Amino acid sequence: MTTNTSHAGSTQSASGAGTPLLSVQHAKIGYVVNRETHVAVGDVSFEVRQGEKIMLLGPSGCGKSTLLKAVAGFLGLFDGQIRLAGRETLKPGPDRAVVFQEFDQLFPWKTVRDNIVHPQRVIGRARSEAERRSDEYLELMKLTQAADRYPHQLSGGMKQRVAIARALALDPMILLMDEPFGALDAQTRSRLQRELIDVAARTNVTLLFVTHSIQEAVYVGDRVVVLGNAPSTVQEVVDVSALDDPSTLEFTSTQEHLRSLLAIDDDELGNLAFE
Amino acid sequence: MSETREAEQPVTAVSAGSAHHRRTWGDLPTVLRRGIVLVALLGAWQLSTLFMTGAQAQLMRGPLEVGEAIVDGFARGDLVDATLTTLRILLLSMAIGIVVAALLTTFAMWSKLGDDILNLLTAMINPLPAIALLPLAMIWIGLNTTALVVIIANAVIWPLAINVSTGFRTVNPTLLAVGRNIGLSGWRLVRGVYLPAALPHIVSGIKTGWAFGWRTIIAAELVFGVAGEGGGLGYFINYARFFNRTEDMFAGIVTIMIIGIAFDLLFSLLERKTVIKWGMKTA
Amino acid sequence: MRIFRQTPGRPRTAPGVAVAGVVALALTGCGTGSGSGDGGEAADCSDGPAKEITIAHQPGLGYAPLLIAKQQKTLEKRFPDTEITWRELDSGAAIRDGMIAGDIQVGSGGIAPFLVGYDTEVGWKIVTGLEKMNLQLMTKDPSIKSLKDLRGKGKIAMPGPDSIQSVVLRKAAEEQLGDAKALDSQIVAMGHPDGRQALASGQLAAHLTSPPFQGQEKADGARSIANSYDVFGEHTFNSAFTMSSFEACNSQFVSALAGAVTESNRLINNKPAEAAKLLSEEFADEPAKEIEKDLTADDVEFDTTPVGFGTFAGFMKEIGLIREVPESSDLFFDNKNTAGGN
Repeated sequence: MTTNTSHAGSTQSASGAGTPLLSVQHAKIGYVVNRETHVAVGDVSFEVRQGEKIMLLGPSGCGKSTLLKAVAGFLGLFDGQIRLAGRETLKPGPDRAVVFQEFDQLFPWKTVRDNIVHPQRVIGRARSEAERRSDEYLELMKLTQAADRYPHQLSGGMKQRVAIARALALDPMILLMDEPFGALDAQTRSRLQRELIDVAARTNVTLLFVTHSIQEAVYVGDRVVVLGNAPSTVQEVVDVSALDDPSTLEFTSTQEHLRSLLAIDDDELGNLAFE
Repeated sequence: MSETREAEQPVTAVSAGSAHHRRTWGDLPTVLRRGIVLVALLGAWQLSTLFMTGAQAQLMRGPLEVGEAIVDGFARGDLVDATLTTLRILLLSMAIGIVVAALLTTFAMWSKLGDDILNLLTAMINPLPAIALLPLAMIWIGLNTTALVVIIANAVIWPLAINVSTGFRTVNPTLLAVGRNIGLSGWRLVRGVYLPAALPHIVSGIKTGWAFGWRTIIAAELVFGVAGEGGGLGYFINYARFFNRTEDMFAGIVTIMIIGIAFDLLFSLLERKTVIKWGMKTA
Repeated sequence: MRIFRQTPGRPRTAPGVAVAGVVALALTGCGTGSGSGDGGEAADCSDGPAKEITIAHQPGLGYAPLLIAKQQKTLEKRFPDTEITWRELDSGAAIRDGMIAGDIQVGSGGIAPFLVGYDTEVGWKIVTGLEKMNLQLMTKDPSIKSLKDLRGKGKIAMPGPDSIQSVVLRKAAEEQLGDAKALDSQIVAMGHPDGRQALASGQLAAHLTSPPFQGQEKADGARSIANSYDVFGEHTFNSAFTMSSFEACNSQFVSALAGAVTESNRLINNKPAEAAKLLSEEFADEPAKEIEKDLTADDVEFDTTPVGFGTFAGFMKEIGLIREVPESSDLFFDNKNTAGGN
């Protein structure tokens, strides 16, 4: 909690303090489809410090999800390096817990509670400990009432809450979120954004968050890494840590600035979601 | 949308309460409706036997006589033995079928070649009624239980293998990503994600396999005569035919029906307790 | 290979149709059931004697008296206005099913299926015995010397679990193994020709059959390890039978049938070479010389008096194949052929 507060005040100046938690250096990532190579991420470098909330913002198809998948270990790099706490990441692992956009990311055959307990058991935690933590995160995500339900009995927003609780219960070094609120209605989305900010503050979790919503990026994040069109590079890193009230002039002008950054690279404004 | 629904509800409630003249057959509970139909059918059956004389009466038995024959058959023990023999051979064949189907599926998941082989074999063998292989199996293997087991396992393998491999192939990729994310890989990923996620397909594969196997074993026993160390239900019927015991033929048939229904219920229950409860399959 | 032959086109649909009809009646709410009861107990001969008669037999020399009558067209000449059809079926059960269904008017077969039918109130009686024959249990396996060796060794083929052969096997099992059902689970139902093939190809441990098949198998290298005379004494093998209701309306035909069998037997006994020649028309793969040898063998006697029914019935009751031992006199139509039968 204290770290978070200091971040909000000190912004970029903290970069000097120690090694970054996550460092992405000259990452080049793509897919091979039918023997043809498609480069999505051209050359991207950025760093995430402990306790920071970093937003990856960019137009559709700019490779921001691809980048997140690479950080999670689902995809290899063509070139460059990704290091977590100084160590190169090669395989998926619970130290980089992921929350996906899809509602069906919960195991349908397990109750809400077991969806949170089971992954902890997989990483080797004792049952009692796993259950204790599960109760803790159920309460934190306001899920206690739904603990014994099965995922198909939950609304989309509830399912995403469970996914966040599940990921947090693993005590990840960094929480990766791939447009987790992208499929929710506007009302639920803004409520979950507020809750996420609150929970992040209370758990001091480090966050790498992919979004195509400028409003979400400014509202939730500390810094926004803006990517251009594929093969993408970093356009600019914008500090938005002080901005948490959308009614302020500063918030609006930062949004305008990001909008203009994205518009340079994407003539088709329709692809972007402006909130 | 919600407004419309709210507006409709009271109307429905009123009409259901007041309009007793609209109460029709369809308004009765399903169990009651089916029960009435069943009783009517049994009654018609019993009635039909009353009008039969001579040779016709030789060929027909009413539900009461058949019920008595079933009770007698179970009391004597030969109907029990026949039922157990059939079930034992069927369960053994299914166990073998499941193992072979699992191997085939693994092979199919593991390589494109295996997938091609499984698909081609299934496309070729599945449309062939398994019983058609019985004469060949009897010549190759002999007049013993092994021939029966081979035929029935064959009937079970293909529907099962194709269902399970479809199930594995269509596992939601997000769930697989979650599994890998929490650190599952190899066999633990199969057990933790693939198997439960493919359960609806696996259950329906076992259901289809059972249905194929059940039909095949009865048919095989009818052709085969005594199977191994004692005849099954198909043989029971045929034996009754040799001894002109029409009521026992009916008893065998009804027993087969009852077991068929029992297994269907068992599978329904299994589905209700699992995939339907989990929302992976609609009831 | 067929394990046993289903009677072609058995009209078992009759009860199904009846059920459908009655269900329809019941559902429409009118229950004035005018039951379609044909073939009732009391014979209704208003249509006169049958215009079409089917006579059924099984494969084997045991049916020689019928087959000679068939070759000589004895019955066809005597009843020129009646269409007479001959059919060969593989088991007594198949013939019985055909008779119940009304497809067959005159059947023939071993003692046991007849007694089973009598016991289950098919409504038939013996017109005449055909012959007495000793039935042999044949095996090719040199390690099988007695029934004890046969136990658990493989399948034993015979026309059916109700056949006279099966009763012989059970009696032998009771005497030698102490348990009449000791070999039951090894019984497999096959017609004699299929059984002979299966024994030759090594699919069977043993075959309990009849002439000429047991002779052919002996020629193929098989041995007899048990026989029916040893366990039951001399007995009739096959007989011809018909429904009481048929006899009531066709007594002339039935007594002609008895007479024809007597005539055939006289021919076989007096001029076996001539009889064998006639029969060779019926047994394509058996030369007349061999047939003559079979017809004149020691343990074969072409005599029409039905013998052994009481003995068989007693044993069949004892092991539960029939419910009651009938009075011998009730089993036979009263005529010269059956006089003195037991």
